[in-house]
Amino acid sequence: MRTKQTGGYSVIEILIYVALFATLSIAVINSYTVVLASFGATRVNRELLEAGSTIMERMSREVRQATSVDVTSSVLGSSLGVLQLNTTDTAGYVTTSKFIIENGLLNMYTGGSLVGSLSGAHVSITNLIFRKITTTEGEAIKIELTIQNSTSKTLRTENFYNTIVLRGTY
Amino acid sequence: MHFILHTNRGFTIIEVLIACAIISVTSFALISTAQKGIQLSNQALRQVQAGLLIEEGVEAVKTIRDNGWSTISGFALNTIYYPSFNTSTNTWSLGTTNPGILDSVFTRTVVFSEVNRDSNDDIVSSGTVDARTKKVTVEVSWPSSGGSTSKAITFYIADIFT
Repeated sequence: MRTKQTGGYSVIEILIYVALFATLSIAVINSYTVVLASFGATRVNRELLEAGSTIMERMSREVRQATSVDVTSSVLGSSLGVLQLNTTDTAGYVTTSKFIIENGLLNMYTGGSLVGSLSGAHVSITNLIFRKITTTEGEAIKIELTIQNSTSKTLRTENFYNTIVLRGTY
Repeated sequence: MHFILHTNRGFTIIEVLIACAIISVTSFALISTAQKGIQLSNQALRQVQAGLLIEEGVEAVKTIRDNGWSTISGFALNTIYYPSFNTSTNTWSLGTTNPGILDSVFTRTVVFSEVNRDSNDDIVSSGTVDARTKKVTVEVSWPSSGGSTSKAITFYIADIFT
């Protein structure tokens, strides 16, 4: 009597509900994976952007302030390059700035002592070339940098370029 | 008992459809937000790269000026030039032929235009042409979702060494 009252489901009804449930599950799981993937991609982008802009901004600033390039201590025209600059510090004393890759990190030295690493733990530098441009009136440095993220499974590389005239050579 | 069972019969097809619609709309909104997020973060990265390329373009024009003003004054006005770097001579030069897209993303152009000065030597739109100053516009453009994005910088370059 009771079962007859509640009726139960017919096969057609069950089919419809199962189909709906399956479709919905696919939609929900799909949106979940898309959101996760975009989170990952955004993080990789941020790591590359942060490392690239920090490295390029700092190197550009140092090159701009420099008075000359120490050619014998630098590795120019090939990767992984080393750049040593003769410069003056904020107090006006003569000193040196050096950019070198050690143990996968791009380290900066001032006057021979380590200032710190410009590349964080999230990226690796796959290409770094310094080229010295000599003009009639001065010198300039062209920097070519390629960085790769090292935290995610999907590896991305991005290139950054800049050329800076050494204002101290004028 | 019979009465209670009768009113709690479960969902009708309309109710299920409405629930489906709500869930679909929600997940669609999530996906589109995520995709917009990726798009914006890609754009931020491109903006930084383009900014550096523009700076490089400006400095490249300066290295050309440092090799002699005659090169700068020899460039045709209001004509699109493309900077290119020769890795064997380590020099920047400007050419009218497009050397190709940088990094398969960016196109960089340099355009020179005339500078006019008035009797006080101030830069004005119409006046005496100053042959020892040029107005330079460096532009970097790249394809983005919904067309093309570009960034440009305009500066003056002067013959300061002769």
